[in-house]
Order: sequence, then structure tokens, then C-alpha cells
Amino acid sequence: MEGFFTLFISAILINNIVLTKFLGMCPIMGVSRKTSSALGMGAAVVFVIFGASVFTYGLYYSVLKPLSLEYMDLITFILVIAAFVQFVEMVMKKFTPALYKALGIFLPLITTNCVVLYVTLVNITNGYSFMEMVVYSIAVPVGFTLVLYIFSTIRERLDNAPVPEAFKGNPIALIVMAIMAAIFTAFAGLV
Amino acid sequence: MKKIIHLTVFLAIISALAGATLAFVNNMTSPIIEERKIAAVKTTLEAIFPTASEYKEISFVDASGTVKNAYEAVGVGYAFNVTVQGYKDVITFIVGIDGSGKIVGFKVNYVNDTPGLGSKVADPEFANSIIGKNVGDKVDTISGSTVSSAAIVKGIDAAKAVYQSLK
Amino acid sequence: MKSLLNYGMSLLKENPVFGLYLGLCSSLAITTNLNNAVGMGISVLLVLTVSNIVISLIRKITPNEIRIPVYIVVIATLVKAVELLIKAYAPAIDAALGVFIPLIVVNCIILGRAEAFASKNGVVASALDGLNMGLSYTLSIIALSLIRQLLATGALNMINPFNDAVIFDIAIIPAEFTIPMFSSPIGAFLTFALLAAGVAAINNRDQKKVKGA
Repeated sequence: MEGFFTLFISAILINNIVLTKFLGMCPIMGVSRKTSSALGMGAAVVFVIFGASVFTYGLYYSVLKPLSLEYMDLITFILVIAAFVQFVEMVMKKFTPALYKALGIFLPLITTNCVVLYVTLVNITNGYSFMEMVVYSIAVPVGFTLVLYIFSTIRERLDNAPVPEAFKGNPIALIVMAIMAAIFTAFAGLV
Repeated sequence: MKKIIHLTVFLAIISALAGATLAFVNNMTSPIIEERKIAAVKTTLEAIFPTASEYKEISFVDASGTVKNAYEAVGVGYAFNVTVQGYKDVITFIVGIDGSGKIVGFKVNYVNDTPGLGSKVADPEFANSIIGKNVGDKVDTISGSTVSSAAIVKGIDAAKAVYQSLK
Repeated sequence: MKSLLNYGMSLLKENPVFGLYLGLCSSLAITTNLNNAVGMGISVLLVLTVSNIVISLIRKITPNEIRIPVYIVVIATLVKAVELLIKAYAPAIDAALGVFIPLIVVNCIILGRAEAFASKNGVVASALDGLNMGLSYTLSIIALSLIRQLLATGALNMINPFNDAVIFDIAIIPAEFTIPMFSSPIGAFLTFALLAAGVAAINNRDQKKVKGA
């Protein structure tokens, strides 16, 4: 149990996927203007990553590896992810149409979100057991949502702040990221 | 209905072509990649077990999940590639145990902890305190880098467990 | 000479990295040194150009409804092939870039160009577009890594990945003046922000010129 807790906390805080591994930047820069859509996006990403991870993990160990088709991992994983995102899109359109509209183009773009493919690949290359995979594939997108949420609260203020012309919009957002990254390094050694 | 069949067939053909292309590239490159994988570890294996004639990777069962690879230096002993969680980042090391249960080799391959503290696990003093001990002996941690060295001690215990299962 | 300058300026202004913020993940993660940037840049250039060519070739027979999955399969195949080739013939790059090689699949630039250009234009034009964008991307990440490596370690070096021979290794800034922070994520975000602001400033100034003239 101790191992899983460490894995969970380190994936969210110490090795945060956005602030230490730079993945998931595109949606952070694009979506994070409203806190409600940030949380909605985060929830969608958690669901997609968890679902895709379980599916691709099973696919790899019960089909690809036994058939010595490991080199097909990239193609099959990304197709599974694309299918999952389509599925989430359809569900959201039906049950949460407001959120579906708010997220707009960024929902299908979850397919090209580096975090999703990264987690599905790392589950294999790090040799995780089933439970480790479950813990990791939930912890990482939670960490992503955390940063996305914090960022959205700052971004709302940032849009109204006096920023030099050239820095307006994305460059100043990146500077904020730099500061957040610096703050998060304090978590090293937590577990 | 016809449209869906058309779409599925098209996608299937593209995927088949993709698969064939990759199978070709894979055939071409996999022997080279296999060789490189063993070559990377080979220098370490040769340093730990200089008298062995052959080194090969073997399958094993490990409950802890930290032992990533096991190698056999045929007729001489076994070496284990272990990855544990250190203070900030993972630590990977190789530990070699000979036929009589003595630790004959220890080398840290990757450590990214505090320089001067956690990084001490890569120093020769720590390695010297481990090499020569038997499987039943206790390995001491380093004061000042408790987290990193304790993690390694646990990793060595896991390797010992795999060793016992292989004997 | 003027056209070369114009070309250089266009690479700067229609820059997929600093202008459109595509391909961010790799730009920030691997630009800690020059070797990585060159390795990644060439890989992306290759995949982008070939994928543009292939997708342009099949653009007339690809059914519209499944074009995105088809493009993804094409790109994923190319990336995997490049990954296998790198693992076999240039393992130093594989060790340095690691999981970021397969992540080229989700580099928004490649899918973006496939959708925006290659699916609508002829093969030669698409190939040139791929080369163009790939070059722009490569130059951007080389710029990023030059700054980061210089400031963080004071030295620049390049190693031939096929045989591990050192191409050059020059120490420029003495060790006492280096700022190790630039190797860390903090430095990555900062350098990127500054370069992005720089490109934005140049674009703004040019826009004002156009409006003023």
C-alpha cells in the first residue's frame, strides 16, 4: 500500500506531468480561461486516460506481446485513444451539452494531448503491474487537472493586468508557468 | 450501410499497409536493437563476473516490482537490474550475486538526488560496504542520505529474493 | 541574398512553435542541449515531410469521415519506423530523447499540417510545406537549446549519434557564471516565454508598419 501512495503523490506533486515533464501544454494554454471549463476538461481527461490505459494495457499484454507485435503499439494505442475520445464526446453531447459546447474544439483535441499517449506508453515501458497502472493513470491526469485549475484562476486575473504588449496572452502565461514550476519543486522529498 | 462498410474497409487496408511497413522495418532493426540492449549491460556484467563465458538475460518472478531485468553469467552467478524510488527521482543499479550467495558486484547507473547527500549512494564507499556481504547479511544505510540508501537496501533485498528463487 | 533574408523572416513570423504554440511539449522538454534539439528537429522534419507526401498522395481517395484516423495511422507508422531506426542506428538519440520520440505522433504540427495543407494540395507543394515547417520547428528548438545549454553549462557540444564521435565541444562561458536553472523546467518556460515575446514583438512591429504605411 505504501508503494501505491508514493506513486500517487509523486505523480501529482513531485513529478507533475505539466510542470516537470511539460506535457499537456496545448490544452492548458487554450482552455484555461474559465475555472468551470477547466474542471470539466480535467474530468474528461481523467476518464479518457484511465479508460485508455486499462484498455491499452490489456491490449498490449494479451494481444500484442503474445503475438510478438509489440511494434504495433503506437498505432493501436493512438487508435484506442481516438476511439475513446469519440465515445466521451458522444456521451458529453448527450448528457452535458453545456460543457460540451464550452470545451468546443478542445474535446476532440484530447486525442493529440501528449499526456494521454504518454501515460499509456509509460505504463508499459515502466513495467507497471495492473494496480500500479491504475494508480498512475488516475494520478497523472489529476495532477494535470490541478495545474489546469490553478492556471485558470490566475489567467482570469492575468487578462486584466497591465502586461507589456509583446508578452500579452501566451508569453506571460508561460512566465506564470515558470513560477508555478519553481513553487512545485518544493514538493521534492515529500514522500 | 454500404458507406460504413466502405469506411471500415478503407481503414482496414490502410492499417494493414501500415502494419506491413512496420513489420518490414522491425525485421530489419530488431536484431541490432537486441544486440545493443545486451551490449549496454555487458560491460557491467563483464566487470562483475569476469570469469563467465556467456551472459544472457533470463526470465524471473519478482513480487516487489523493482527488479527490472535478471541476467545469468553462466556458471558463475546472477546479476539484477533494479529500479527504486529515491528522494527526488528513481535510482537504477545493478547488483551481482555469485553461486555461493556472496554479493560480488554493485554499480549505481542512475541517481538524481541531492548532490553530496543522496548522490553518495554512487560513491565507492557505499559500493565497498555492500560487495563481499552474503545474502543473509544486513546492508547499512548511509547517514545523511537515509532515503536514497534505504531505497537501495530494499532494492537489494528484492534482488536477493529473486536470487533465492532462481537457485 | 534578399530572398534568403525574406525566407528567414517568414520562418520566424509564421513560426509554428513561437507563433502558433504547436509542438510545445517537445520544445520545452528536450531543449536542454543542442544534440537533443538537432536529433528531434531532424526526426520531426522527416516525419512531417513524408507524412505530408503520403497524405497528399491519398487525399483524393480518403473518405472524409475517417480522414483523421487515417492521418493518425500514417503518422504513427512513420514515427514508429523512425523510432526503430533510431534505436538501431543512433542509440545515443534514443537514450537522450526517450519517450519523446514516440510522442512525435501527437506533435500538433504534424497532424495540423496534414489537415490544413497536405489534404488539400499537391504532392510537391505538400513536401515543400513539410520541409518548411520542419525547418522552422528545428531552428526554433535549436535556438531554445542554444540559449539554455549556453546559460546552464557554459559550453556547447555536438556528438555524432551514429558513432559517438565528438563533432565539437567548446566552452564559452566560464563555469562560475553559469545559471544551472536553465536546465530545469523553470528555465525552459522562461526561455520559451522570452523568445515567444520576442517573435510577438517583431510581428507587432511589422503589423504596425503595414498599417502605418
